[in-house]
Amino acid sequence: MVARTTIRTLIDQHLHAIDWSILIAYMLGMMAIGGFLVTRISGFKQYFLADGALTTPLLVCTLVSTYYELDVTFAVSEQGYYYGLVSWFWLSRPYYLCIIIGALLLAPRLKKFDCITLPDLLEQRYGKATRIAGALACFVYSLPITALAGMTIMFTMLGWDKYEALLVSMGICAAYTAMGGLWADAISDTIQFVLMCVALAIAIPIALKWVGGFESFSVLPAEHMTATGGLRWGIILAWSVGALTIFVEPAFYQRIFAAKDSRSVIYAMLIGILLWAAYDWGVTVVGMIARVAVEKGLLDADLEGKKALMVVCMKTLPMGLRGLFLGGVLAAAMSSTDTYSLLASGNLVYDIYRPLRKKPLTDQQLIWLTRIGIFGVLIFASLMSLLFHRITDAWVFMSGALASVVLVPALGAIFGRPPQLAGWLSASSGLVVYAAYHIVVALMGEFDEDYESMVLRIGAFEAWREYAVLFALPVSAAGFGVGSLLGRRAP
Amino acid sequence: MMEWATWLAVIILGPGAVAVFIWFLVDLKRILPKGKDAGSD
Repeated sequence: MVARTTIRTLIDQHLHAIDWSILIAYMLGMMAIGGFLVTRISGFKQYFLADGALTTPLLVCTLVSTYYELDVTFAVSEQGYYYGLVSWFWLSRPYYLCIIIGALLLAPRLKKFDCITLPDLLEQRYGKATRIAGALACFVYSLPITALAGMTIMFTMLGWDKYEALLVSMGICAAYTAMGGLWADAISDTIQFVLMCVALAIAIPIALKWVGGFESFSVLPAEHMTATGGLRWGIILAWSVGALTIFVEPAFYQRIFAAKDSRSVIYAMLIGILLWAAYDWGVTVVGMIARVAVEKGLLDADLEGKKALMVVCMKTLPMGLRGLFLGGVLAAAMSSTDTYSLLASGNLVYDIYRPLRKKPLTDQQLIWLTRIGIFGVLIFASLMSLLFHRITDAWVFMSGALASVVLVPALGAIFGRPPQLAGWLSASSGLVVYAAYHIVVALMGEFDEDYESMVLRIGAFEAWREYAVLFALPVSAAGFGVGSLLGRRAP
Repeated sequence: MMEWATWLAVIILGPGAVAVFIWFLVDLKRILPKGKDAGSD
């Protein structure tokens, strides 16, 4: 007889005072970092780019933990639970390739530009209109919707009052980020980085032992152990294309501009790939362990994939380590929330409001407006997070929007001197096609229960919602080509 | 392959991450902003 396993009962039965102490100490530590740094910030560049002083170890920690939102963590373990190793091979691995290319080709070139943000770069090459279009796409992408949705799911799973818990964690995130800017963000990321990595490193062997080691994986469906997991190639391609967002990922740009030199970025990214790959692999394996546990009757048969990681770790970790693990999971969410709320606020204040204003803003005004913006962004993003059914849906939508609007013009600006018209046509055509595709599929399509996604079927042709970027990106590239031919080249 | 990849991941995430963190701590004092009164830019 298998006892019904909910995380709530696991928490009630197993979370001890020492676990709670670890969680509270972690939260207080984050606030202390913000409080320590607030008196040391004097200019906007120091606030938003840490004065361009970030070195390799700090960059490793902040890059790795920032990229790892809860949505990525839950989504990768969810895919591991449902489809097996394909999650690592096609959801995660394409990113490593793009990061290597980004480190070796993009970082050294970007360091030569005198920019604070990606829209700065777009304006230098294409003018103010493309800057604003790019800033809007960056703003949509940077809204910490997925991080907050991940936190909401986590709090719901834990049986906590999700509104109270979200308010506390958002408040702490906003407070230390608003106080210390990128310095507080990056330094808190290092604590979060070590928490999330070590917690997973401890959880994997314990969970493996619990299900009976690797031999027990023989109960899994055969597709779980293959690189494609029996998925459609269209879906796999859509997952992989998401990796292209690395080339326009605002957090990567911010950290490249904030790095001491290009060598520090290259080393940090190459070291980071090892950690990303290990973390992705570990989370995928834990998802598969949950599936093994279900097949063996150790967990309920109706376990949802998105809960796989939490259930397995709460079920198997000993006292004290549960607090460490929860702190690690919370850290994964907070490290992204702080970074992206700072970026989204910067998009609004520095990239959109400042250039549209006639009277220039002082550094102190920029800092204070960005601080206030962080709180506004978090409130707006938490409302937006209610609109998406699955975290993956929000992530696919946001990354698709960024890739469709900014990818081609940004790469064009970095590697060439295209005319202004090329950037504008590329950004605007990508935006129009991306929005139109989503509207058509939403209005004329149907919901597919098996894939839990919208699809528009026309005869044998199936237009899945996830394919939007596959249509918008070529149009954006074509717009760039047309603009390059027709536009007046910069001297 | 899955077995050795998993143990490699555990080593990278455990001792590897702690090593990077220690590197960061050693580096921190050198790179922290000095504060408004200490003549930072």
